[in-house]
Amino acid sequence: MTPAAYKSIPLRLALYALMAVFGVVFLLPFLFMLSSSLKTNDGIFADFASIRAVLPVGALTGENYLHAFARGNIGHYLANSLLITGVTVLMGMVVNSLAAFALARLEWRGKQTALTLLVIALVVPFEAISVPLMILVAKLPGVALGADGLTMTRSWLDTLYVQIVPFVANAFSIFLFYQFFRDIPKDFDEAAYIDGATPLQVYRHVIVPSSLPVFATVAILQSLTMWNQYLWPLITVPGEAARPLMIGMEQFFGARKTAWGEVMAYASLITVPVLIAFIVLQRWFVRSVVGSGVKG
Amino acid sequence: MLSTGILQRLATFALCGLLCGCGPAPRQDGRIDLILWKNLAGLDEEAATSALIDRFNAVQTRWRVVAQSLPQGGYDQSIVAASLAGRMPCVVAVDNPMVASYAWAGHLRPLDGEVPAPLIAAVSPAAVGRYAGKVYAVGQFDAALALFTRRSILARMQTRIPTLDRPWSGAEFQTLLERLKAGGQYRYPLDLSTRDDKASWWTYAFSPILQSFGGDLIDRRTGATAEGVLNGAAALRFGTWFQMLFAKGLVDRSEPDDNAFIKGRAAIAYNGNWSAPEFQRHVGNDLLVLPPPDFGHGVVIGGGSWQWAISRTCAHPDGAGAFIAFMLQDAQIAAMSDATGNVPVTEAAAAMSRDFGPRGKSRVFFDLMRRFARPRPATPGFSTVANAFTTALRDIMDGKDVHDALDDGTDDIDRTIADNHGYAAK
Amino acid sequence: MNRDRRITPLVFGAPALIGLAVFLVLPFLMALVLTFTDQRLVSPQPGAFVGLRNYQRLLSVGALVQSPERDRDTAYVRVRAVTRSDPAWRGYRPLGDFRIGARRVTILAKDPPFLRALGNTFAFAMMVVPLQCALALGLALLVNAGIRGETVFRAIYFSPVVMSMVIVSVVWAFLFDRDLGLLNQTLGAISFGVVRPVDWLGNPATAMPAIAIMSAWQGAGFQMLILLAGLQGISQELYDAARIDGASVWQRFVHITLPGLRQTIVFVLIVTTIAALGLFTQVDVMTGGGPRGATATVMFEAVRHGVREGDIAYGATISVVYFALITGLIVLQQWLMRSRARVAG
Repeated sequence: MTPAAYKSIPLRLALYALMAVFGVVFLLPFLFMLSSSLKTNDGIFADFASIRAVLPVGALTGENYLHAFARGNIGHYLANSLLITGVTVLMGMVVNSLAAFALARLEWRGKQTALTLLVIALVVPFEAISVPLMILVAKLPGVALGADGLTMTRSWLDTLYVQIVPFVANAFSIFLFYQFFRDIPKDFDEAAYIDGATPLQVYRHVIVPSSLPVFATVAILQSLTMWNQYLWPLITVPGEAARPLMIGMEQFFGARKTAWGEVMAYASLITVPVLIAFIVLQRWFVRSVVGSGVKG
Repeated sequence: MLSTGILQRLATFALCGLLCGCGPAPRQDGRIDLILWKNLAGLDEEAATSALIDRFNAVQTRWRVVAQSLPQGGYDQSIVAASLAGRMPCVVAVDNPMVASYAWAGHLRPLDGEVPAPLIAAVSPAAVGRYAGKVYAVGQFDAALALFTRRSILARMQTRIPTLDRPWSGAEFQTLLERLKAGGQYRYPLDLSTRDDKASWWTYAFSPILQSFGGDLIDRRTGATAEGVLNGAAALRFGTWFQMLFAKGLVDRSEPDDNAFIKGRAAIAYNGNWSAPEFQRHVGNDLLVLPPPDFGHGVVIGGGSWQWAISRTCAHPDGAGAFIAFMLQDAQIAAMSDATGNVPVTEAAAAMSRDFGPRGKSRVFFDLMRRFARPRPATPGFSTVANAFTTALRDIMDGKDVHDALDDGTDDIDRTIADNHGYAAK
Repeated sequence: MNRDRRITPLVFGAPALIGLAVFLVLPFLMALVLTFTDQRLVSPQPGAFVGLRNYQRLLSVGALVQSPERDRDTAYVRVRAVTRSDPAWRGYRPLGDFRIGARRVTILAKDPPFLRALGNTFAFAMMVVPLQCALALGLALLVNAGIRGETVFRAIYFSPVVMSMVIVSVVWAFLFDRDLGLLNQTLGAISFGVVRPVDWLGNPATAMPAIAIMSAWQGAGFQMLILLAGLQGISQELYDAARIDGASVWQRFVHITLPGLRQTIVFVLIVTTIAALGLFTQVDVMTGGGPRGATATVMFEAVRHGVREGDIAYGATISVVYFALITGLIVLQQWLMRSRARVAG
């Protein structure tokens, strides 16, 4: 809109105030989570009813964090989540961008149908297919690497790859890539083809370098989705070995008295690193969304 | 971009990480591993169970039990997933009401033959998981529900203190509650922990009262219907009574926290032995543990907690049986009770324990359990039964017509039973 | 060269195609087949073909007309007495009733919770989409105003997006607490006690709005960034020219900003709507569908029947019906837009 220089002082103050109010509203739940993570259960409920709920006051203790680490087995779950997120996102970027390239840049029969199907696929909520998908992967023969080498197993359940493979191909990612690729001028493609390039080379040397913003955007979106996955691991990963972070939080519920302090500590441990990562990468991320032309 | 060497190494690392890591590394000492799954409980219980497993591993050299704890919230889903994948552990903890469901689904093998019968016979009936005439699970401990109040309150109200032999009648209880309310000191004199909205609590806590009125969740003889039992005259009386509690302001629809009794907002709390230590800490010697009222068909409290079973696909049922037999030794049961405060399930173990012996401070809970505990019905459709009952009761609490609510619950249960062809055996 | 050109797209698209086919299309087809059976998740009995029984159970609606009993002009036979005895009405539950003259008409359905969930889901979408998008637009405008320190605020507004919905639900359940929650405390303080504490999650009338508020809070930051991208795509010269022409702030907003953002706004609206219609996690964690089914959504019902109660055939039926409904709406909307374009052009 209008640059700051045009704005009068009272207007600027008003805008600051407005932003601050919204800022408080947006920060409040965070502060509550962080403050509660430092209090005992009694402390949380005692401070509940006042502004003290969001302030780290009273008898503070680091006990919750100790418990979260000790009982929570956070290191193991963190490693799992990192692996799952990393592999899915990396593979997804390759697979989905290639498909989008085929849709945006190559001519072939059935392309229109494929596009329509893609749009329809966007509408299917995950919960709708979660149970049949679980039954499907429960019967798929899997592999495991044990002391005696590579063995066949009867099912994909309770593994890390059951949390990865079904999510590599992603309709929304393909859609985002497609929208962006469509906007890249075709001249560069033409020039490359005239020089005798194959489509793969065009993809590698023309499209990809111009598409860093959308790659970044897709990576970030997929990372968030995979990091925060909940329903799927709940129904397909019963054991501890492949359990991700979100399910690890389950262990603080269910018992008779929920240890809210520990829950908040665990939640903070999960959220704060992601938040810090975002703050650090913020400028880059915003630029990527802006540049990716995610406009519809 | 990255050099191929690093990429290759990363890929191998990722591949390995993806495929490995399921299960402990086998050790080379000739022992056979028995995998055990249990629900994740409180710290005390976790520690006590670990100690128990260590003791078992120490007294013999043939087996080694390796335990994994699963979050209680998704425990049933985990069992289902494991079963679908053919990866059930050898020893598995089962919540008593689910025993019938797992047995019918074919997850479990009967304990007969693997665990000595005399050991099971000594255990309180509610702590044994039976289905279709066979024993599938047995537990080391149980819990007991009771009414908690303060001696000073009863003295002030000039109400007699009920005993296990002479509990309050429904009418006595009602009068007391109304007088407490009229006195003005208590906003909601009775705390039923309605804050916990889970079907497991509502069924465990309130179906015994339904039974005390003369109703039940389903017809236990046939297991084929709830008609006439969940919506018969006795059940209607129960429903009406329950609705009246809220209509008259005797119970809060949802207490703001769990401390109504401790903080003095409620005069009487309907709770279990697991809360006794905390109540004791705050109320001290003024605390009274009383049996729930007899509403016409005797005092009834819920029975059956987490129990141990052997999976059908276990390769070493004798090992699993040995572990369960070890657990049922009176000394082991007593040790568990001492560590966790859970109620022991045999007379002998109670005598050996610190708090549940004839003069122990928690003896009342053992007596309550022994005399009044009735397990929830052993039906494979228990999840539906529990959900239907809880929905009906919560609707009644919110003012729905009692007859309508109970009819709806009955219809849901009957339809599920019919859908499953009466839960006939394979 | 020509042969390459024909198989290349297939090669490029193959991994994604296989992935989507196996992990999206196949489960959906499985679900479709399931809807015609009585298969349960765990059962020693094999599943059997039951035709349209699941669809009937889900969608059957009817009306029961009753005249008052003789001699008692205000009493009717209990609806359930009729439905439980008359084979024609077996399995139906009352949904609501009204009077026409002396007769009572009761609307019956075989699965009232599902119909209620359908209503809840659409109501939720209608609440959260305007709320979240308006909030996002407002924040985007604020952050784009050219004031120093914007990046800090931008980070703050975006931060809820990185929080897992499970954690957000847990934290907000505290904030919504009737007696001690901060929301009521703040409202009471601001209004000097005029506003009484609201039982946000316990009152059927406020439960869904509460979830809508929380969802808008969590999602607005992301839409804000998208709108920001759109805003920055509007040429500064347009604004300068308008200011020279003497246009006011409001006029500049309506005639430059909004049109320039049109495509972006449409995108944001569509994405938010699709996400809203699939609402599940918040309901599952915060209210479990309560109070009295006021927050149950279609996906929640599907998971409740399919996963929790093991009736996967019925859960699949809900999913399939819902998907058909949404696809139908989209097709209808496209058709309407195209016919309007045809009329206009």
